[in-house]
Amino acid sequence: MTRRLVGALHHPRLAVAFLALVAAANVSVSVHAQPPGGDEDLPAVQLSGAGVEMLKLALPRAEGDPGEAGATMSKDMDVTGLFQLLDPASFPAQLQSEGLGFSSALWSQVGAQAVIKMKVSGGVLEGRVYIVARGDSAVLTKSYRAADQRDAVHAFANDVVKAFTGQPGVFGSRIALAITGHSAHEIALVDMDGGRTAVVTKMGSDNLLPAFSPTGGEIAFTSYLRNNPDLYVVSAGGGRARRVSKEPGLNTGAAWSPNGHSLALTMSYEGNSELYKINPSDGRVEARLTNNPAIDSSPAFSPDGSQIAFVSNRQGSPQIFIMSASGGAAKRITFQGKYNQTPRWNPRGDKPQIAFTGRDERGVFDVFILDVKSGKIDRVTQGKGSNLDPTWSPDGRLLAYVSSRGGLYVNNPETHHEVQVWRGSASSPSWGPAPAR
Amino acid sequence: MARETIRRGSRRNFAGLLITAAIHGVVFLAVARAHNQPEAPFIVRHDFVLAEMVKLGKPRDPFWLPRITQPPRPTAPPDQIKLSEDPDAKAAPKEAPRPEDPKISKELKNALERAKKLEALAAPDDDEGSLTGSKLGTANHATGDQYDAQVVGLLRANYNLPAGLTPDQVPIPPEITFHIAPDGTIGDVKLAKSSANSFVDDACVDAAKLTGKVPPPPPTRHGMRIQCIK
Repeated sequence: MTRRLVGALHHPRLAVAFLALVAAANVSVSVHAQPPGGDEDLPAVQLSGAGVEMLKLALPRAEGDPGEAGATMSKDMDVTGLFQLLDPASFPAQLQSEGLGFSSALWSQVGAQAVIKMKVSGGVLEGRVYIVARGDSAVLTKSYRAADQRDAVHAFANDVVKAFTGQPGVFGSRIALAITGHSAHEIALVDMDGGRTAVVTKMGSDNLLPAFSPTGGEIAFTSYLRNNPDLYVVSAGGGRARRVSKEPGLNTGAAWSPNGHSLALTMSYEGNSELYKINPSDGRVEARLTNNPAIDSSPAFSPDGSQIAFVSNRQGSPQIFIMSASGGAAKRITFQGKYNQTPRWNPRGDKPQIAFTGRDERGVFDVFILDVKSGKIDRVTQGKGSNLDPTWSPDGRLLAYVSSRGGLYVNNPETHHEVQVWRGSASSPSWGPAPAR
Repeated sequence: MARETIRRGSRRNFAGLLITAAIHGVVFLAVARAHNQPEAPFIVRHDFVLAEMVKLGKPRDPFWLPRITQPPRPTAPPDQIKLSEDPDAKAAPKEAPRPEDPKISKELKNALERAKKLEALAAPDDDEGSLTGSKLGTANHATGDQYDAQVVGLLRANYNLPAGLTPDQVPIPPEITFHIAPDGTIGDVKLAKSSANSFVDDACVDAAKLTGKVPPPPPTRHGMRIQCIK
């Protein structure tokens, strides 16, 4: 048999066939004999749809601080909605007396992912940020000097936010509000953390619907001082307000264009509520933007100034529409709910979003965000009274609104973390620009 | 004549041997070369599935503005807590009705009654969802290979990125690899590719570590490579 096989192999064609068989068997055996491939050889499977986690942040008592710096920083970090503040009572004494030094091993036992340290001495605030997973060296070390310690803490808080997110915070920015006094509404400015309040108008009349100019230097508002809803502009530092538009009927709900060169507002001097564009310095009408028998109101410029979102009941119930900033055809963008109003564009150009007030099927007003591209609506508030008149922070990360619970609230829509920053009765907040750095 | 035949035959044999040796050589060289070449990744045939889990309930009218989906409310503990398993244990004496507190003012009573009415008005919301969903559905869905989808679905529950991250902060999505034991235990979790952001890397690694165990893998599966995207 063997001799026959050897003999057969002498035939070239048979030999080739035999060898091919041997080779194929050899290759096949080599594949099966190979141990299972390492994990690095596997095709990657994508994991998406991550939840959002607030970073666990420890803020031990600041060295040399009677309490104010620590309280301000604690409030600032809470308002960002990015951090879960750990209770300082849970820190062992060893960590409380650590000073500006840092032991990542000890802080990891407390459950902290990051630690903020401060030292106050001679009007200088020294701040450090540590990330527990990165060892004992600080990722941020900086000193701040300011006439008011709160401003120094806010500056440090902005740098802390930048250290974690890549974008600085907006502490030091202010929110304009129409606050309710004994007999009148006045325009006031509130620090975004609610720390300081300053009344800008002292006109003794109903002053409503403030709108911060893009530079933060001026505020436009509607006043009934002369028994007609006229449009005024006042310096953010206070002083005498000048009447910009005094046409008969409505001169209300002004919005500044992003370059500050014009104001869009609702006027009714031609008989019907329409949107107009005027010059903010002399009130000259530059253009009539809408021409519809329905009521058009609440204009809001897109961040690039090319579009205007507004409210109209031209298709029955109040809904949000967009049109070119020079007027023309309008396109309806909200199709859910029966009553949607007060649209506000997110100032971040890369995120075409509009926050608005919507009334749900239970008759409750809440804050919603519309993704302009997809038309998808996300709810920001729910089950906590009525929440109205949203306004975006200058970095487009936070929303402030007033609530029937009383006061002004700031909400991070990403984490749904909400903080009451100011107590009192107020309406129509308008968030000013980020502080100069 | 016979000599010539033998000579011719031996020449043919010699040529055959030469050809055979040459073919042997070529084939063995080819096999050796194939062995030395890097092996192409072993790709398991994917059976694509689309699975969607939705909550059981009355479908929400799409006309209305959306509501934030709430986690299921915890059920109240039973009125009577069984402290003893002793069937002969005596029942606890009934508590005598408490006398009305004379200090409670009429206003407070009214306020309490009003609060009760308000509480009744704020009845829990009707369950909204799909008529064919599951009671505990959370409206998440997964696509891809059946086993991959199962594992990714479990990992997703533990995948949490830090808040406030902007896309430019994670230019490279991190990748992890891990081993899956025959009983489904996840082990040897390694960061295969870093995103250059330690929080994002940690979130990816933690997703596998916190999950701990997944369904037993198919016989051909010994591990997985996961790319974590936002």
